Amino acid sequence: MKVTAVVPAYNEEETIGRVLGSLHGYVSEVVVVDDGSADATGMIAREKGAIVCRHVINRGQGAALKTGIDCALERGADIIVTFDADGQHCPEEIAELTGPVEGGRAEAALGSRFMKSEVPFARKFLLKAALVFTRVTSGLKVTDTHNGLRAFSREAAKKIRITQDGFAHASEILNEISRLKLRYEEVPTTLRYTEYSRKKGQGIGSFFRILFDLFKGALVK
Amino acid sequence: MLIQIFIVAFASFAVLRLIFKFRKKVLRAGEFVFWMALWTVAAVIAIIPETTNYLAGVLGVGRGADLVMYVSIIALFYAVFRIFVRIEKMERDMTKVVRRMAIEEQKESRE
Repeated sequence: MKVTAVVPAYNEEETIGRVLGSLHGYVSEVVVVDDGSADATGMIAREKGAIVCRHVINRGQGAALKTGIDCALERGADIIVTFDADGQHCPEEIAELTGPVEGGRAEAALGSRFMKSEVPFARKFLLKAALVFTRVTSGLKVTDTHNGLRAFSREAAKKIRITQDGFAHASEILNEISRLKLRYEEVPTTLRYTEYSRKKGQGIGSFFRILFDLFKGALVK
Repeated sequence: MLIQIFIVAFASFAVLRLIFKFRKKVLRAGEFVFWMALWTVAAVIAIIPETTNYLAGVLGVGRGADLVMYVSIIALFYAVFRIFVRIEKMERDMTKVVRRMAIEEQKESRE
């Protein structure tokens, strides 16, 4: 089974080298999508032996993820694992996500930080709000709506449509899982909150931006 | 009133440009008729403001000027909505192009 990690990255030269190094051995291949980075992200990724797709201009994490998934599928991936470039995820937990998918028990495995880690208070409040919103809009009872660590079967990855270019893609993926009635499972995963990742994290502004993006998305359909 | 002169002058100017564009075939017949009608109505309202009062009465609105405001606001909301949708579509198209380039370049770079 070919397991490919898809890592969307935008100006992550500080962490991408370490992250790619740590992924070694846990997946068959790594596809890094350099989303128009102005720094050495792409170069470092290439040096580390990853397959690199470069967006000439920055399009957003959702867009980068979709590009990576398309590339991975084209290269024959059987299981696709989405993984963050900022060091928040643990490669050791990948097996816990691919397990259910490989076994055929699930078509999608979603990482959940609430089932395991301690979450900073401010972040917790926002995420709980997002949770309620997601339950209402997609009907899915997930405990972590915006976790970049997921695993999909090849078929599921092919079917899921990602049209949201920005952070709203996470909500869109859940909506797609619901729409396609995919069998999914939540898996407890660790989220390492570091100084670096907290700086880059999404705040209250993102929450409203995501709502607005989802609204616009519904208009265009 | 001065405003009447301004509006009629501007409307005439706009109509002239319309005729020009239509003759040069840059403007389609449907669009030409629409905009001609719009400017004509604007000029008529400017010259005889009472027309709006009549319409306002028919629709149950206070004054003609109020009616013009309501209609304008609704029209603006609609225009903004259309623009939003248009922009969203353009963003998605841009991403499709950028994605295609990214994947093609990656394929090409395989030795």
